[in-house]
Amino acid sequence: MNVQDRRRILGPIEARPLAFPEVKSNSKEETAVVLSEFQAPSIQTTLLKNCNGSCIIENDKTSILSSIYGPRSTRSNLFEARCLINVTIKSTIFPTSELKELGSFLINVLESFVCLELYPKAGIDVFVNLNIEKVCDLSWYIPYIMMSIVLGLVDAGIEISDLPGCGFNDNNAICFTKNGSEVIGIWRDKGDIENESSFGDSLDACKEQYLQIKGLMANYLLSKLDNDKTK
Amino acid sequence: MTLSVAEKSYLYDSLASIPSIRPDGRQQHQFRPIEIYTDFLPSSNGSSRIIASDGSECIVSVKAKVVDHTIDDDLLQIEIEISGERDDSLITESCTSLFNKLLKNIDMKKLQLTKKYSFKLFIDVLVISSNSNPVSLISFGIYSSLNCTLLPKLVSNFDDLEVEELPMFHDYDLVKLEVDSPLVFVLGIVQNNIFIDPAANESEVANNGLMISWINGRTIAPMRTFALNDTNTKGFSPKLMQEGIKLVEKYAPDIANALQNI
Amino acid sequence: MSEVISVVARNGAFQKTMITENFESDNSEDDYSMSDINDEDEDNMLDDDGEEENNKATHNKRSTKQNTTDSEIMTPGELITDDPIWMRGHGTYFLENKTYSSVAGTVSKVNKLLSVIPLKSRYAPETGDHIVGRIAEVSNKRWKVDIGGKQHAILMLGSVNLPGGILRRKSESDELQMRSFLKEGDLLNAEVQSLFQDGAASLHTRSLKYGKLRNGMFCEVPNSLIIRSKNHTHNLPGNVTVVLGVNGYIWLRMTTKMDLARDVPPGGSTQGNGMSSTGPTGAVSLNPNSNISITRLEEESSWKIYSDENDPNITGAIKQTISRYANIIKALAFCEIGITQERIVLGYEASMVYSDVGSLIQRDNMESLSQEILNAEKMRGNAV
Repeated sequence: MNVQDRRRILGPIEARPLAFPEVKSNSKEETAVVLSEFQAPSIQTTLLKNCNGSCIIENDKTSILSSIYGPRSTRSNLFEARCLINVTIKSTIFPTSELKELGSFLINVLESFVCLELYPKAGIDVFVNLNIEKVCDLSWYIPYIMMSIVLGLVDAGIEISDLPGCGFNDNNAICFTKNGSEVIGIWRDKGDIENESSFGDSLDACKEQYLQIKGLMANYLLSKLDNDKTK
Repeated sequence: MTLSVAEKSYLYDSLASIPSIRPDGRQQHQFRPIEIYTDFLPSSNGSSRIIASDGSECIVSVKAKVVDHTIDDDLLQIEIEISGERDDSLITESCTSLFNKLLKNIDMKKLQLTKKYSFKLFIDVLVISSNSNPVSLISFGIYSSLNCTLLPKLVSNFDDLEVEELPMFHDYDLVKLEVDSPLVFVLGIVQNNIFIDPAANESEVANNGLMISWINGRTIAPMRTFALNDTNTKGFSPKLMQEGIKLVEKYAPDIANALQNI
Repeated sequence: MSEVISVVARNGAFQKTMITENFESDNSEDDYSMSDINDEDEDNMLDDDGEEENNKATHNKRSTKQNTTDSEIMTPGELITDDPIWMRGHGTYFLENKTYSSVAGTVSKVNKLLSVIPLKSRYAPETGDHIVGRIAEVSNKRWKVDIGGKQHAILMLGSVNLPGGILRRKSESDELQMRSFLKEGDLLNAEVQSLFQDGAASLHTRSLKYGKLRNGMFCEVPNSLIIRSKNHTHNLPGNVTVVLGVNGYIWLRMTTKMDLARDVPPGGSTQGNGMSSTGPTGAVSLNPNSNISITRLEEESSWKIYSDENDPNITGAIKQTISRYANIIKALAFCEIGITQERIVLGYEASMVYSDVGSLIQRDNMESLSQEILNAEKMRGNAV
């Protein structure tokens, strides 16, 4: 065949893949206890230069990086009166189908607070990289992922109606907005719901955590503004 | 499905009013009628074809295979195909992932044959057409096909750890698989009203959707919110979740009965 | 059966084959070009459960077409005639001086034109049809409208009433703001003005009875069930107006001043007049005495005719009634009964037995309601 494959950028002939020393996996961590306590993570935004907004949320076991591209023009020829959102999550420890499911869940959550009608015929792409050690199942990470996406959106200057957040308690990851008066999403992966009152308790715990997260995010944004001013 | 602005506001106002008025006059907890054909695939152990009144249709087949459960402990495998969607599309993958989690609630002990061997069930779902969210229909299909699944009758010993023998089956006797299967309910939320089984036009104006799973008297995971449309999605009062759970707990046994007694 | 869900169990779907054993000898004297396939088709059709329903539909079809005196059901490939004097119309094809049917349907003979009208097909527009359509696309100086036909119909910017009265000419600024008149998803009723060479319809809304639809709900039935008549907008008891589009798209809305100003169609039920002002539930409607003439309304027509706002006075009772009518229409469609104003009104009266509108979606109820309608029709002596 004389058609050259232009799609791939081939490296030099003698290129070799990078090799890393094998990391010893500590078997104890596999059965780590559920971290019910929310650990205040470190936050940093505007890390990446090639995207419109980015945010990294870190604590000792997790590092979640979100990068936001857009609003940018979509390729679709159809007239769309509102902005389209796409969320892609990448991780090595969870199966792709689960990540896609979480992605579609997060799209739905974002649709309820991003001001989509301000960006007709445009699209926003959200990429989330989970650089994590497995301490719990996927739902445990949702509060951090949400936090990272929301701050990423703020960093990208995309208009949102509120600072929403997510709390995790008793297998429930519940996303709130408007100071906890409205729920915009719930994700629960395991465990029976015994009765309504226990669910109500968990709801309250999630709400409390949401308020805590919201405070953290607001503080961070304010201090960042101050820093920018002094510069 | 695109609706005009006037249609949407008419539907939204009717659904949001108290008491809510659904476009087809249904009660808050009322499902649309469905038709079920069971056991119609000759080469499967159990099968069902389920048709909703809006023309949504789905086929489920259950096939069994004997496996060594000490090696392969994943005794349920589900494949979902939605016509018109690619295998790796968002909706197909999320449905598969959801049902994988859902079917973890099935008691795997019921599939055990001997101390060493078990049946492994392969559940194949084909959604032929769907006008609104298909998860509820799929779960009904799985329920009714598991409900009519017949497996060969074991004639060899249950204890086969010491003896090196493969399970032996009766030539023609079959046993009914007795297993509780989970159901998924889709609830639509419009302002402060919540209702079961949103139709296509109701979905188009709903503020949010809630998915609640239920098995034999228990409300189980997964539970999810998901948007039923991409234009009207909004937050809702936390109280509605509890109301939804209550609604499902109250009416799910009726649904299970109706599906069981066909 | 529980009130939460009705589940109907059915048996045998795919594995059941309906081939009768003696089918080959059955029709041997007939002249078929592809005998095996035809025989099977026909046997299937006759043995099928759907036979009854098919006949009902045919029955309606027959009644609408006066010219089909001796209509018979044809299947694709069946010989209609070997007489070459017939002109070949739609649904037929011609091979070696013989005319065959290319669809399953009834034969229609108009003078020397022979055509076969399919029992079920997409809507085929004809000039003068009153249709309901949905905007599918906004393009250069025209809207493409989904009318359930083979092609999208076309509504030219020049064939609509623009805000500002009848004498207003379209200007360039109108071309730029077409989406503010009608946008994707909008529903409208219109008349088929003419047909293009390729069979696509050109629509117009140059009358106040046509235009954007508001204050109600949409529902869809097979187009073969709608019978072409003089009038397709009917005021129904309970302060509801129905627009029966010939294409099977139906719009149910609250009766407005305009609907009352329009003459009540002749031959309608007598209480249609009296009850349209106050519904059976006591909902007081707009006063019909205000006597607004259509011409005056036309002068008043402004941007309002393209407004997306519903009337804020639609009460819950009216919404319930609209849902009830929608369910009656769906029940008629389910039993394949032609949909006319009389039948809808009869259905409304018969449906009052069911206080819960939602129970009308159950299969049994739909069937008994339809039976009830047919019986009432027979009793009144206007059965078709």
